[in-house]
Amino acid sequence: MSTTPLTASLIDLAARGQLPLHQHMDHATLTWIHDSRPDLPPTPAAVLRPESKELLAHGGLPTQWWADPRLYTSLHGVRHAMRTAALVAVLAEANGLDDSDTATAILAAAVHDCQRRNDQDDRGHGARAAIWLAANADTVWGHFGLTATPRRIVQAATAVRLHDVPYEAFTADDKTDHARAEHITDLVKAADALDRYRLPKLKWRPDARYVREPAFDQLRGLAFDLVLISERAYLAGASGTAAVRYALAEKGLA
Amino acid sequence: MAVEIEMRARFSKEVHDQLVARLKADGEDLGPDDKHIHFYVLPDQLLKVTDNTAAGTAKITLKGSRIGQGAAFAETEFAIAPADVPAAVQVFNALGFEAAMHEAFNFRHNFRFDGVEIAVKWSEAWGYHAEFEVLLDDGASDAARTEAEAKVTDVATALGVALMTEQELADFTASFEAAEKERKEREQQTAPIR
Repeated sequence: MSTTPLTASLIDLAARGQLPLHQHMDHATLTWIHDSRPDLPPTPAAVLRPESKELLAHGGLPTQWWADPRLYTSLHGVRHAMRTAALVAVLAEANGLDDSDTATAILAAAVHDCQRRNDQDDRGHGARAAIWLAANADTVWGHFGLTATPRRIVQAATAVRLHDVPYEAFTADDKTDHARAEHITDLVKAADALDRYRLPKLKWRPDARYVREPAFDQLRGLAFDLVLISERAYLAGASGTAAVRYALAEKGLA
Repeated sequence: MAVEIEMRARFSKEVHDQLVARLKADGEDLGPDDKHIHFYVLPDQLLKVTDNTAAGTAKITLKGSRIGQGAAFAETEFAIAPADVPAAVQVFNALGFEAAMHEAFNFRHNFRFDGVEIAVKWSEAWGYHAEFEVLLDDGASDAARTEAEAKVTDVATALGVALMTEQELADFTASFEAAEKERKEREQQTAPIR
């Protein structure tokens, strides 16, 4: 039987190697995140195209879409999903993606973790989410006011499937799939990595060696601020979606 | 029953930042006052259960008119314990008001400037906005109400903020209520296959 007190913070539990299956932000961990802010370069003001802002406004996904409702408010829940989608939107501008690919990347980012079973490694959750996305394409694209097409479904599902597979572990099939949705996949993986400032250990923070995105380092400050503002708002009592929308407004992304 | 003279403005992030900077420099900073509000939009009244999360207090408020029906709001309110907020919401929902209920978290910071209380806020529905308020005694004369409205208008002008007209407020709240209705219906229909 675990002797870990129920009130232990994520930062303490991570230090002891005892993080639970479901991990929820707490005040002590948020204070640690704030106090351990690295020396980050200032992020150039991000300007999103109106279509991206409209899609981000739909980023508060229904709780029913999560495989386990307990994860909706956890470290891989709706706040992470919305921040990742927002960071993808910023990266899409930096990379000059067209409207269609930008929309596909935002949608993929929003659902990339929704079929997780826990907040630990949970290998294969990307593949599960890709299957789920393909099976529910009309519902998901419809939620964002978009139309699902075969090309968009393949691109988004590929990005979702590969988001939790390290580049160096790509099989021949993975490489073939990646080539079909390279930009979208790379952006989702980079945005997902940028949101790692929420995690309760320094060595888990964003690392450019594991992504393929030239603008990665420029966005660290923005990613850190989005985590800090939204997690602080969530702990103050705002819902997950309100907390992230407030952070997006504060950073000029709403 | 006290009477609030209450006027509102919505604005961009840039205007918000300028307003807060001005109020911090020239006004009185009354501090953060975040609130989690359950509000019931009734035909001619507004009922609210407010959890003052920043202050650690809670209250129930009945306003005698809705937003967009004039600047003067007759108001009755009483304090409850923050722990009783869920029960209060449960009671009002059980009384048949659930369909009229909305929920919002307001990030809010209060200031006082030239005799007017100004709450600078952000919420999902309103975005950045501010509420300008003067509280009058029970039975305040029409002249006192008119004077208070003029005072609020003068302060808003001095701060470079454009107040919303009653028509703009009525249109905005109607649009919000319609969007909320659509959102609730959409959420009820959303049940993807596994």
